[in-house]
Amino acid sequence: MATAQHTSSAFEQDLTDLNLKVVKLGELASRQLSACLRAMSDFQETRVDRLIERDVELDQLEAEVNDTVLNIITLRAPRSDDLRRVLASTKAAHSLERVGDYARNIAKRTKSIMATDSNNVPWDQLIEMGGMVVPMIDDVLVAYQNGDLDAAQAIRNSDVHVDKLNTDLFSLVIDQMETGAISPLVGSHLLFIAKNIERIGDFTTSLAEQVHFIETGQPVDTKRPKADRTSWLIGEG
Amino acid sequence: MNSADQSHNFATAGLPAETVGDVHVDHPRMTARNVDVFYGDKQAIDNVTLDIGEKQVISFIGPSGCGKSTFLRCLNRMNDTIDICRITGEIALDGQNIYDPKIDVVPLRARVGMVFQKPNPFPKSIFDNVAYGPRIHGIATSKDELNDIVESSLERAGLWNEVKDRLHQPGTGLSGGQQQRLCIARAIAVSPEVILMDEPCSALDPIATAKIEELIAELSSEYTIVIVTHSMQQAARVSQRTAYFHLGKLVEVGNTDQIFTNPQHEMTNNYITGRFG
Repeated sequence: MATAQHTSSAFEQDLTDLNLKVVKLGELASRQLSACLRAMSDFQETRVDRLIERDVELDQLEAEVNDTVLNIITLRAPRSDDLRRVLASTKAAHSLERVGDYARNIAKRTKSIMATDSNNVPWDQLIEMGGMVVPMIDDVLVAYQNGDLDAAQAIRNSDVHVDKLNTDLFSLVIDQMETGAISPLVGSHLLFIAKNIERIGDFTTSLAEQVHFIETGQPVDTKRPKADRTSWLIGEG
Repeated sequence: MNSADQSHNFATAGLPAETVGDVHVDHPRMTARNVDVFYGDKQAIDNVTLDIGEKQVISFIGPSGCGKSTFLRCLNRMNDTIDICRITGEIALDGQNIYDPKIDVVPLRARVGMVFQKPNPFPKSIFDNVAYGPRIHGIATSKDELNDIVESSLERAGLWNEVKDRLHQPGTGLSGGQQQRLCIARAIAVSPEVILMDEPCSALDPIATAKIEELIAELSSEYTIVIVTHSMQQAARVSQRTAYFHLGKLVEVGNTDQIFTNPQHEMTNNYITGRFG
């Protein structure tokens, strides 16, 4: 709603800094997931180790966002859309830090699978699924910065494709385990990796919903399309 | 500048053609309809329509010069004291037009009391400050009744325990916060229906301000209160409704929580978030 600058340039700067920290956190989380996907495609364990180490940066940035929020609330007593943005920042930072956690977990499991020298691992499907989520994160950060409601809505709706890939991958991995194409250990890691990517998609839609809340002052009132059927799949025997 | 020219200027300033939000309430104590106020040729209030609810606190907020104090002073005809001030439209108290030529402003100002920015006790004793109104309006019929009115007014103003042992000392000897509560006691001693407060805490420290705000909350169960304030935190804390004025227009009115969390007009949002000017 508001386009004018705040009379207090210090307050304006505080809000700008807060925004930049959230976006920086998001960009780092996105890079972590991208690095995971590259590790899957080029089988480089050192890349995996590096991204596991970088997770601490995400934790620090989340703490910085929370400190900035405390300072702004204490010193500036924000109201209306300013207050919504400040409150949404803590939620966004938490979501993005969780994205980083999931990326780290994916990295660890990827390393474990690599150590087994297992064949028949559906890396392409995992990379396709992850490749769908990375631009969602990047786009939602732009929508967050610009307050772009249409873009946020589009990102929220696009998560259904991630759900669908997760369901397909779930069925495939179960089949592979049943036929002995992959071991139960590798299969379990794969199921968790797919689920983690699917959860990252969920956190991205949560961030898109925060954009809606900041700009309108209202929660999103429509149900999000979903296609994750993994909880409902039943075996033949 | 004539009225039409002024309206043209209002329109080009990005102001809404009509007030945003519901200007009406279910149980109005006062009603203002299409009120215009002019100081000579200068229009200070432009076509304001607003209900003031019974036993409610409503805050008027807006930048300096927006007309909020001018409009407040219309509610008990305090602007009558300014020769060049001209008011059109209608303002009613309990359905009766207060600008009817038959209305006597002295009892009107007892029914619609006022507390000012700077505490202004009379240069009299604490007792006489509070007793002054009941005496001149003939409210007390005996000395005992006058004593009761003074005591109950000071109690309701939260001042009794602090002054009961020095009622005959000068009111001007009290602290700023106590003086303001004395002025509130003086206003409620004549049993008003409405209390107007024009920035009542702007000259007070935070503790005295907190006491006045506490008092406003208590008094709102008995009285209708209209408060002009530059402190948006104060408006948010003490009032149920908030009205935002800008350039003489009532831009937006609504429930206080909605005005401060999700105002509907951009000008209101800019003001409450500190983006004004």
